[in-house]
Amino acid sequence: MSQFTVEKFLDEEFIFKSGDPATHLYFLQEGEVELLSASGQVFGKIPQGQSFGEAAILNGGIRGASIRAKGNVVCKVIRNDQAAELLTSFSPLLVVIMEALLLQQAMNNSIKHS
Amino acid sequence: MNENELKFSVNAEQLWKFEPNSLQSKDSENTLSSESLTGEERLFISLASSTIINTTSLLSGKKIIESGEQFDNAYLVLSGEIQILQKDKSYKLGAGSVIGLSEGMVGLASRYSATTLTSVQVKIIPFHRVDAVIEFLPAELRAILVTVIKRNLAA
Repeated sequence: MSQFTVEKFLDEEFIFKSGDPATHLYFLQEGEVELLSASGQVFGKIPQGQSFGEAAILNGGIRGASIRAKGNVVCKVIRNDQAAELLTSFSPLLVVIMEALLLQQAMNNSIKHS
Repeated sequence: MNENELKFSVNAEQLWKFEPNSLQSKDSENTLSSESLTGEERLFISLASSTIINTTSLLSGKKIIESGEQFDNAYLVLSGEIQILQKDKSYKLGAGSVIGLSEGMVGLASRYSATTLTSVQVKIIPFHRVDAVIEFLPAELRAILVTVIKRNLAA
């Protein structure tokens, strides 16, 4: 798992912003982060042990929300191309599973907001 | 809820011009990274072009899953429409919809019934193949999958 690097963020530091290119996936090792809409409204939190920014698995993806550290945060981070390689190296089916899970998430969001 | 309401569908008619074979071409690679496509459309094209999961056709009126049953397979709808019945809710899903993946990966029974409303083309993801892959995943990759599954099940 050497492709993962460790990055630290200070309280209230933005990890990425809405509209940024989605270039990295994050695994939240320590701390908590907030999700903010494009208008700056906090609409959710992600606790320790979860991931965020999975849309980076799609080349050309754009961040739909901003992520800001709530307290000090430590993340394991991987670039999108390395993540795709890592998934493929385990099994090409793993890429299919990840993509299908993300598509199911998009479907669920669409159903929820309709 | 209006039972005729189509709750989710990518514009498959437009996307179908990117046939699986043409997706291997340089032009289609450019299209895949184009910002003119939404995330859902890129995912759909990528999955629709995958040769490692089989495509099959289902006739209109085919029951895919009953509420309370375990999923043996997950389904990606390539074309056609599916009726979902969940308690007092009823709605339709179209191309790009994914049925049963998160539920099946954690062994949950279906919370809804799904029946084809038209002839439907689907990609099938069998869970015996999924289980064999995820068994040996490193912790970080497993955590990423689990995060997305949890979000899907909470929806």
